[in-house]
Amino acid sequence: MTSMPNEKILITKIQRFSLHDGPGIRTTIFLKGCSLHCPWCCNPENISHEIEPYWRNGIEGKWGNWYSQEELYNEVIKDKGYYIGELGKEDFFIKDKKDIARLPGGVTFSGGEALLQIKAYKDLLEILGGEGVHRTIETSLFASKEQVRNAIENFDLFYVDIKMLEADKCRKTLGGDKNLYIDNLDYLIRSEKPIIFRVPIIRGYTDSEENIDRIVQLILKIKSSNILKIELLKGHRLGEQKYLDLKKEVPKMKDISDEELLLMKKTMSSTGVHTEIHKI
Amino acid sequence: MSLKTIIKNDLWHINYIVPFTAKYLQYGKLGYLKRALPVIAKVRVVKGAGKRDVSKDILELMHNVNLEVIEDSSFFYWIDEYKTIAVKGNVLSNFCIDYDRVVNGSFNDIADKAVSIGGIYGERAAHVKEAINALRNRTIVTLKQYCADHIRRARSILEFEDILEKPAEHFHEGLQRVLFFNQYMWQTRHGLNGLGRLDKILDRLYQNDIASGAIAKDEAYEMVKDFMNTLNKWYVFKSSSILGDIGQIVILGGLNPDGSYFCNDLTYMFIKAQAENRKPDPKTFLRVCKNMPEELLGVAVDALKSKTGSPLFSNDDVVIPQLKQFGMPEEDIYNYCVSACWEPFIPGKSLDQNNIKAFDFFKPLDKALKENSLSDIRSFNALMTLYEKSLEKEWKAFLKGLDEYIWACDPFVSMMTDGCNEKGKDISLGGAQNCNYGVTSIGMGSVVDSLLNLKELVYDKKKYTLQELNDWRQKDYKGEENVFQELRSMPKRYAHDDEESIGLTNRIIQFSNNVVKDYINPIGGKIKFGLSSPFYIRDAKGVAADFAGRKKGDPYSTHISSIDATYTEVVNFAGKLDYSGHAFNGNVVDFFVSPSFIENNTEKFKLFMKAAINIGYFQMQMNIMDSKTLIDAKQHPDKYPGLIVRVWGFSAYFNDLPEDYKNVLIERAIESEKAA
Repeated sequence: MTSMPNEKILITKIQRFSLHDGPGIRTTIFLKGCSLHCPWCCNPENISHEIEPYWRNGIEGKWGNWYSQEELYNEVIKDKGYYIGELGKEDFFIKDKKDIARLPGGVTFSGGEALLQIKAYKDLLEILGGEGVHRTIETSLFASKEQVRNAIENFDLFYVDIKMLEADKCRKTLGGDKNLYIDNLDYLIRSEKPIIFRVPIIRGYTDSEENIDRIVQLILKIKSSNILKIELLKGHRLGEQKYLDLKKEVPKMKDISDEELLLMKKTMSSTGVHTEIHKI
Repeated sequence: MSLKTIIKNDLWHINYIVPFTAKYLQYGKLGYLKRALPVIAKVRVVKGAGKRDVSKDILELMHNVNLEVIEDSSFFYWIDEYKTIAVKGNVLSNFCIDYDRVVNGSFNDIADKAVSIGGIYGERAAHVKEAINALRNRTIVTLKQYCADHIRRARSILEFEDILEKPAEHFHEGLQRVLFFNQYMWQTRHGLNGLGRLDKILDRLYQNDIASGAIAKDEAYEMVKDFMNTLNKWYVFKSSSILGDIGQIVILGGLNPDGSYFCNDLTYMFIKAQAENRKPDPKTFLRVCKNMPEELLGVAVDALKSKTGSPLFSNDDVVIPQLKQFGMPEEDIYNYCVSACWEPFIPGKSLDQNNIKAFDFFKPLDKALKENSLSDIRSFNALMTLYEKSLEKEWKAFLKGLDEYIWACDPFVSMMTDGCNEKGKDISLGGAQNCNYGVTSIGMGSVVDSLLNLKELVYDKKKYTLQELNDWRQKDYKGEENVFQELRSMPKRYAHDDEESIGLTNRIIQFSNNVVKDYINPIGGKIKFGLSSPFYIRDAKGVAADFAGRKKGDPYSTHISSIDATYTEVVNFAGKLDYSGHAFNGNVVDFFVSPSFIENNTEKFKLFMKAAINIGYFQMQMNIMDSKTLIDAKQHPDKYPGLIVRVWGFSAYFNDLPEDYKNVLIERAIESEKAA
């Protein structure tokens, strides 16, 4: 393997045997640092851009470790034998959701916001791509255009969040610039890279009729053949312990019923894009 | 000589009671007496006339066992659990006769060949031939007297009229023959009786019946289910050390010598029937390899969802080369089955007692540290040298102990095993072509993690001395809970794809190979060992604490597993172990998988299983179970009468297990859910 520049990447976790972060069996790399602060975030340890302490059962630990690209490569490659699927790298540019299941496993970059440190790991992406490892990113798209460009050049599949599309609420609640998001989304769409939209349905935040309608209108406007499907995600409390460990206030989320979720699914399906409820 | 060996070898005229009551020990002293005494009161030893000989006892037994018809089975199968024979020595168990010889051949012809050898060997063969013929004849009488259904009576009687004289001609008939000889094995005190490669053995009969229209596929499937249900009977009687530990294992699929893969409709049927029946025994064992049909692997993964712990997976791409390098003939190795759980075994050629005893890899470290001055152990290399010296000593004493075993004279198994006729020698005296001993093992995880923790804390970081850590360990860390927690929280490295851990494990395996390679047992066989064992709880009870989070008496980890490794990590680890030399007596990766995980991710789990074969694990089994269910079942057993879990190489009803086994399973389920 060619040696890579020594700039380090701040990671909170490398999760092997990930089954919900893309096709096949994957290794998911969780990067620390986010451009947003979503109230429902289930990975609070990934919001801050710095190493931070936590306490569990009286024992102190820390979230965040610096990895070089080479160290990350060595981790990702451990499970290369499991990144199997029908399609080879020449066929990664899929257009049909039926082909998602035919894609091999590989590596997924998540977070936090995976785009923020992409400059530090893009050489790694290039090498993995050259070796035929399928590369997926989970992103909110709240990043710079250059970061999005690097991603377009080096990822094979994009999971893109659609959260709050009313500009004021997006800024106040999430800390994000909606216009930046729309510009980046437009840029990504024009690349024709395969995209899966992820829509978190969170009571009191993203579930309003107005927000859902804006999402539907956005997708209708895109009319792109590279949108493979929409996944609706219910909020969950799996991250609660992490808030307690970080001595942060646990967000009080109200549940969305399965019936309501089904109604949302029906509404989203009116875009003509296949919509499903993503199970964790 | 151990007390246990004295009882088996010399007090054989009273030791017959042991097989009936060992499983009740799990209930404690009072529970044992409550259950064992009524059984002891009923059991009768049958003796032949004249000078005592096992073959005469068998003859008398077959004339006297009670025989009845099971109404809810289309087969005849009956075990008189209260009549037995007293036999000097250890009756062969963890064993599989070659059913092919009696399904696709004639038992009487086999017996006549043995009789023709002459001498005491031939005489005994003649008695056994007479005994089995008597059992057959009495079965026919019983059928005629008791069968209410005319059609069923006619078929069964016809099947029994030819059962010893010529090859079977029909599928149901073939299944009946397996049951008949299986019944004989249980009746004559053999335990943990495997069933062999039934899909292959019954292939001719099945194909002929389907081709001629004698049966349809769905009828054949019902017969397979009926067969499996019939074998499940006498569950308590058949259980060995714990209820459910029965060993009736059906071997399915397998690599052919030409590189192709053998499977047929029956392979699928046995897997599906076992899953549909939802009983812990009989169990299925699927031989897998890279070029097996994906569909079959998919069916096997679907069968796991029945949560009975079957099938166990054995990777032919790894196992068969090891059998070859051990020196087993090419024509035999592709026909391998297993002893009751997972230990490779060649039916019809072997005495191989593959679960003879468990070796503890951690004990030599414990002893070495107790018996030596530790201030001189100034480097990790020096520590390894100390450990290896102790390991060699421990192996040598262990192997010497194996020489005590005397095997019970077994004229039936002798006539069914190549080599015995040729040598005119009973299998118990070394007549078989293969007379090897197989050893299971415990404690490898403990010793590897302990050594690596010592390396880090004592030699790399110099945080503690070896002496002080060992002193604390020998006090079971009393007053040093902080140190214990520190050791416990250090990353577990055994069963992770950690190069140092893999290297150390292989070093210990190869060192052991070197120690055991020259051992020849009293009947001319070699030794094999493996990294799995039934005794990870029982044999850990008296063992001192380790340096990796185990306190005195705590169970060892189960087979090749880790509480915090992902599935891919454990398989990667297993794929890099060196199973060469003598190290192939079963090496099982053991997982907990929650039912919702496999239900919601079935297709990806199939991908994982396919990739795992290529990675090169030796064998794999899993518990499809979640901690919530197990915890609830422990508190409210009445709610879960049918809850089945995988224990070591067998499945059992959770409610039947001793409390310490339940606790281990709960803890493992919790940890695996955290890791997932």
